[in-house]
Amino acid sequence: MKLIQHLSILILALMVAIPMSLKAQEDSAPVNPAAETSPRTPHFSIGVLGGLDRNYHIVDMSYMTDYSFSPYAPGTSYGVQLGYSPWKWLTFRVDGVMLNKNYYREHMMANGGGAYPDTTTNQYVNVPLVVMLNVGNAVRLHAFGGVYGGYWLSSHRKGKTMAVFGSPLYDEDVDLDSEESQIKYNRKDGGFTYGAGLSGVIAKRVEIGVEVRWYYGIYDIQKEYMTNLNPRYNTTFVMQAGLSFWL
Amino acid sequence: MTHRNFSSARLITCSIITLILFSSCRKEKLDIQSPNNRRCSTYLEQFEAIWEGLDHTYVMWDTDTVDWDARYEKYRPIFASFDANGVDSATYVNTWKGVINGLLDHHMTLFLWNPSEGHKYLIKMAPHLPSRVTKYATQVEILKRQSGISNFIEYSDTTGKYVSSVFCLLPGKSTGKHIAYLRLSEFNMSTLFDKSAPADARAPFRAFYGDGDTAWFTGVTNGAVGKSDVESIIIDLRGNPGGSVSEISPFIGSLLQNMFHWGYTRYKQGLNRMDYTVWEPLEFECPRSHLKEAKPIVVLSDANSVSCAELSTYILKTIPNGTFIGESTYGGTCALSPNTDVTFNLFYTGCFGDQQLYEKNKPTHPEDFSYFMYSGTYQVVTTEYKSLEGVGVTPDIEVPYNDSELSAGVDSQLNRALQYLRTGK
Repeated sequence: MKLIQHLSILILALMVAIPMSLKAQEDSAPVNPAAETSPRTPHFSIGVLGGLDRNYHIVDMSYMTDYSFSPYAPGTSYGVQLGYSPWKWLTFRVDGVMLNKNYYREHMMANGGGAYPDTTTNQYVNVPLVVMLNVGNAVRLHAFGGVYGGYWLSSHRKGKTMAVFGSPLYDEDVDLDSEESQIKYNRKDGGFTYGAGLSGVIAKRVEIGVEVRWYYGIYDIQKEYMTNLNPRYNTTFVMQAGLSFWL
Repeated sequence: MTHRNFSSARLITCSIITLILFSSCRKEKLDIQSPNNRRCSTYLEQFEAIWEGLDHTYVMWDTDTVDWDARYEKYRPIFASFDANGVDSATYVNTWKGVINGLLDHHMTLFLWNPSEGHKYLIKMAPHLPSRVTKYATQVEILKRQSGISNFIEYSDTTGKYVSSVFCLLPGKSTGKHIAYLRLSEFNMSTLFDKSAPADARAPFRAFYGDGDTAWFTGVTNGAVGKSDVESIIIDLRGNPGGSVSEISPFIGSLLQNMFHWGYTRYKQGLNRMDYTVWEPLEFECPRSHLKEAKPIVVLSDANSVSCAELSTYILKTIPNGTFIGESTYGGTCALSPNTDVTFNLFYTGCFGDQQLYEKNKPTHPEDFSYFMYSGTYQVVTTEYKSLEGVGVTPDIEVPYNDSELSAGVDSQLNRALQYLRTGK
């Protein structure tokens, strides 16, 4: 969580710095419309993006101290992006991305009871909507923040359990549509997303970019089916590259 | 430019507010304590420790229909009032009965210690305990008369340390053919292989399965069940309260010809009610010296056949050459160990609380409102993922317990088994 706080401070700083530089920027570097190395405004853009992610499954196991959760990386993130820039310094962007929110759990039993690992791979679709502040011309810096909604599409578990009679190993899909899953799991996803990126024009109306982004889930992955529900959340870090076309 | 600056300022303000606020959008951590070593000084603390403990450890949440949250809302103020106003023992006991009433786990027994002034006492509550008194000794006597004294071998333990068992050969379908009969008092066969066990304690077992390793169960060797003159088998588990689940494998597996998948099991794995492990297949391999030929097997069980006895009954009923005759079993099909060192302290499931209260009927801290919850460790379901908890195994051929017939020297359940094996009907 400290990393999130540090990143938040960084983004805040960028959000303050970028608008302050806008006026000076426009005074000193007028756009050359003929070259189109800087976006004309207003304009729409459309593109694709993809990259790797790393998910942090946030759960407090309380007295069950021999359980540990850690990211199972890398997951993947890929999708499409659609942007609208009313001004050069401001873009509204909506993405549709498929991404993994995986995690690794290990139960290291006390007194030599053995280690029982579990790798859970989850597939989500997320639709983030962000406001993006831009600075620069041919090469631009971006800082952005916004909200996202999503849905949990599938889940798979692989690991080892204590065997009574049979095999201790398992490798199976989780049926998220089963009666039990419908009681237990909240498949709606949503929260805040924020990050920063860098982009550059590589051809007429064609821009490539890289960005880092956090998805901070505020929906418990479980339904509120009991009073003392111990909450579980996902926070996902994404590094991705994109290719977009100005329309 | 004024418009742009205004927009920028608004965006920045909104962003700052958002970033400050969103860290509080998640729920607060719960104040959770382990129910296994929790010390309670009031009636209310005792109630909350057990109520929360079942949240974490109870393996039947996926099928239980009791509204556990409603129980909390109903009973929390009552226990708080006990602290404020005191309570008589009858009200205390009845209130606890109300708390756990209807919970599905048929192994469940709650041990409570009430240290309040003038009321130091231990309460054991087993809400599903069967009340019938069954004449099992009479069944054995009747069998003895039917089988003939020459091939009747009984070990009847009087010390409480060892398993009692009965072996005999009964007349089969045709002349010279036999039905091998084995009765087991509980699934603690390991006691028979204890060095301190009397020499004759294993005799019925040896007669049925044969001689083998003196340290543990070997399977079918030179015992009657593997001989050609034995054409069928009766396994009598009536009144068998269960025991060690690991003993099902050699006991039943020795009579099968192939590895057999008979169900699934799982246990709790987390603090929430629906946190479970994956379903693990229940299957066992036959011992190397298993019965090579599939012979018809009848298993006799009744309403006092519990736990391992029920699971064995289910397996023998399910195999192609097996038939269950008798009455529906008790319905306590979870597997469990009351030793929290190998259950709760390892994987946080099943029994929890003051182990000493369970083992010695005295709490570790007599001044505490101590407790011990005895309940299932593993949930067990059929290959169709159907739970038999509270239901039991239903017989293929139902023959209810008949007390008056037994008194008159007739074991109708045994007779029906003999009829089935001799006639096929």
